[in-house]
Amino acid sequence: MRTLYLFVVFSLMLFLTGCGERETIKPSGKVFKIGVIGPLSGDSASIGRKALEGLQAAYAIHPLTAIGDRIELIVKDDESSPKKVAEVFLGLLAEEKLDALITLSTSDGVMNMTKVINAQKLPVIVALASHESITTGSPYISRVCMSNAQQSRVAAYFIHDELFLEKTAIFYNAETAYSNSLAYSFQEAYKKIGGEIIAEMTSGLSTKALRPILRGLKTEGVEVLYTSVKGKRSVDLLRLRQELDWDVVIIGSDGMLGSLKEYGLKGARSVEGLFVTENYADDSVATIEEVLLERYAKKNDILLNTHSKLAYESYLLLLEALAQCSSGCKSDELNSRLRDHEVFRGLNDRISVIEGEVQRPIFINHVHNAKMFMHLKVY
Amino acid sequence: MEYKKKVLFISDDSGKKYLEQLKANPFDVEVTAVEASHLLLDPKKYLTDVGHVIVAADIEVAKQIMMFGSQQEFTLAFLPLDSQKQFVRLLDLSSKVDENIEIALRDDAKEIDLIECNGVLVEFKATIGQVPLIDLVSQRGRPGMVFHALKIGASQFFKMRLQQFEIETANGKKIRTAASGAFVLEHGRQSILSRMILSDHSRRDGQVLLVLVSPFSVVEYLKFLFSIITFSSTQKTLPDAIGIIKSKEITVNAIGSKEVVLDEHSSVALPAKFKVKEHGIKINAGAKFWEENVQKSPEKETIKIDNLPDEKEMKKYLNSHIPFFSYASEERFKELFLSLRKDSETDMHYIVLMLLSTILATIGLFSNSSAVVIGAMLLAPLMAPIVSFAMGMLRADERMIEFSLMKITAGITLALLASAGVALLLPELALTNEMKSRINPNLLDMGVAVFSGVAAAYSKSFKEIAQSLAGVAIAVALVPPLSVAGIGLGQGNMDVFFGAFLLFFTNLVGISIAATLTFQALGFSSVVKSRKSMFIVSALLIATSFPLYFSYSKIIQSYQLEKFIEQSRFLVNDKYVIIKSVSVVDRDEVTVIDLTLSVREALKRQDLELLRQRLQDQVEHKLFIRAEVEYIL
Repeated sequence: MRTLYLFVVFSLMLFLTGCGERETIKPSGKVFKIGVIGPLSGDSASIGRKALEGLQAAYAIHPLTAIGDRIELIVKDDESSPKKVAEVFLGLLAEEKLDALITLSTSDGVMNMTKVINAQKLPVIVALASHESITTGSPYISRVCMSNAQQSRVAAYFIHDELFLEKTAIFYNAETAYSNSLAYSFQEAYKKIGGEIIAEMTSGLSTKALRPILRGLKTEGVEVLYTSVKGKRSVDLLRLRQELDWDVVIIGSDGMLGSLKEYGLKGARSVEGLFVTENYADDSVATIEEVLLERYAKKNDILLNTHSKLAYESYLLLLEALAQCSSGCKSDELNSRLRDHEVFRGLNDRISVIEGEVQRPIFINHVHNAKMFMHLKVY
Repeated sequence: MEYKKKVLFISDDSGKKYLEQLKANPFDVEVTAVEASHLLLDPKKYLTDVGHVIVAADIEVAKQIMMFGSQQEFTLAFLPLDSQKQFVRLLDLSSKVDENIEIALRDDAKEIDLIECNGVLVEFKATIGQVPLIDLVSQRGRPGMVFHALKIGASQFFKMRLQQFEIETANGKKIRTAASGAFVLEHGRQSILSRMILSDHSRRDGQVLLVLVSPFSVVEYLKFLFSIITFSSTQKTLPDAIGIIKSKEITVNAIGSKEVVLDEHSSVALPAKFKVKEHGIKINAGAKFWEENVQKSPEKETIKIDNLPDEKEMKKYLNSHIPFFSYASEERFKELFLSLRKDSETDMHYIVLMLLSTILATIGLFSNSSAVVIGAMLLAPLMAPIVSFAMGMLRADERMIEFSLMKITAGITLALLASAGVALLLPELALTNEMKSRINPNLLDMGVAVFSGVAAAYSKSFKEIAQSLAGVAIAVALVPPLSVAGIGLGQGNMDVFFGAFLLFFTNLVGISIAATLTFQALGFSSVVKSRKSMFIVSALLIATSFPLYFSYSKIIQSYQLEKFIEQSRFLVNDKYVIIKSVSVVDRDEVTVIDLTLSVREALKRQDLELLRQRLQDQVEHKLFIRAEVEYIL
């Protein structure tokens, strides 16, 4: 009887142990070499480093593909110089035989390397560059972040048709393709539905010059400030609004809150109530990948932002495409798997890629206590 | 004021400190001192021919000197030690030594009664059995009392059990009852408890007073303790859990206890004979003591034991721990039970009111008039049989259950038929918002039903707040969902019927269970049938929980889907689609979504298909989507 009892207990323990064990993937021995280029130094270093942290997190969590092929990441710094990106890319190609590239560079940088990409016919995943011409300009590029056209159009509809505000001023950085294209797309969409653009201000204006302009806009009854500027100049804009005690609605573009935090505006009153169009929200339902990522971040004591998450999802897209590839996975096949990918689970929702352009929900978030809470989700 | 000429001061080690001050008294009283240890070896040597004795010693020493005093007729005064707060309260003494010395040296001693228990003097209190926290709560305001009370209460409340008490008075009256404990209090001013129970009791009335504590439940005992804490002098009635017996002589035996604890220091074995020794000793005390303990001629015996268990109840309680909630015999709450019995019987008034309220509600729903619907809620008599049903379940009263169920069923049938009839007469009228709001019950509705059930049972239990039932009827609104269900039947729309009937059923179950538990918490469950009642209530709870769980998990899913869609926007082929309103109804295999969309540009079939696809991507089961489109101009 005692023997039978012990047998049952041991069997049960074995069974339960089996239940709790994760399916393990055995290494196949094959290696995929993936180049990574991003701004790890220079003006945009904070963006690049955060994105790289996300990529490294994805690599640590999923070091192998579904069939056990190993991924090797070869990282290069573009020094935040759009002009240098192509050069760095060519250098990398000379050093290594790459199977694909994940770029963390900004829109200007990616646009500068499009010719090289097309010439090399190398599949490229763009994590952060959101200028719409990037995917239309190359049949080898797939994008994970939402495009400028998508988010600016959503912002325009939201302001006009949901907040019922018709007088808007735009604040943009004339020197970056990203900011320029957002401002342009927004303006076009907003005007089309009956909105009025009262003023366009560039981030090149000094605070001293900006102050009387904003005061004038306040007097004129401007209801919304749409900004595609990140970094210190957006901090200045928010501080001026506070200084003028101006109750104007501010809508920012993706990554704005992360960039504000970099400049020490975390939790500041001036950030409170800000709307941002984003790829994620802090309160949205977590998928299994987000749980894994958060666990990793906690364990390694790192703070993740939108850029980290986009880089993480770029890696997920690569894994998904490789999983669908036939044995050997040639460059052409990988590219087509990347550019037309039906659905995969991202960090907040399902994502698909059609002709290189991502189809993902766009969040309109409301900032409260330095966190982004979902106000609306646009599919 | 006259003072003694000569006194004997008896002290132990703790009381010695008062000697110098006593000797230096300003009244020229001569003080002779003796140590208690010497005196007790040869009391006669020191106490013969002594006129007045002042004691500053331990309670046991003080009691022995009192016994000598009762035999040798010297007068007695006390100088309380720092630890003897009871003496200070009992004799209305002061916290200042010089004031107590002044009282002790007065020549105005008066007689008081002494109580003996099996020949041993009881100074403050004699306790039999369990009466936890009585002393503590009767000294409200004591520092650290709450923490101490929680510590003791947690360990003792759930161990309390009633034991059989056999009592005989001086007149030969024999009493058998059950109590958790009893105590004899020999003073009128020691505590709030004394004042509460002994408003007319005096230390000079020639009576022994026995207090029996017999809580039917832990809750009732807590209520009793609370009543002591919140006692006001205007309170005249005896607390529920208390019985009192006053007689010259009381013999007590408790089956289950072995001893009587005297003044928390000593004990004597049971059975115990408490006997009063009238005018037993003359003592000095403060002015208030004499005001509150006026000399009385011996009264008749007093026996107040209506609150104690009768023979039938006693059998159920003995030898087991007292329950957390009370039980009650029907006799105790006769009026309420009669009223509930009457509520469970179907009569013509009920039928007429049910018909009228349903027709009114149906018309109100069709005309989308909240005011008319509320009027119908007030007319509706359906709450009464549900509350009766709840009580029937609690007491396993088959007749009450059967009658109330029949009455509820009759009400439901009438309501469905009447509203279906009205709907048949008005086939062209569409669903109004008043109707739509009653076909998608969610967990909040369950919350409303549960709290309405609590409120209904509570207000039914107390006549003085019975008028609140109208508010309960409005809150839970039983008839309108039935009317909507009937309208669904009349119009052949089974979605409407099932949705609205689910809301009604939720209310019915929520109210019934909540009212049952409320009646139990208020102490209305039956003594004899308690186990059976609990079984029936548990079985009903389990039986209703399963369908509710499944239906509510669906409701929660629908609710989440509704919330999700409300927060969603769609960019379909560059057209921005705003979800203005959404309603989700779950059917067996299909989720039906009614949307109102707001758009700028006309939506083509391919746009709608894309929209449908994107919504479908969010859920696993099949969606059936109906949309109304509004244009932004």
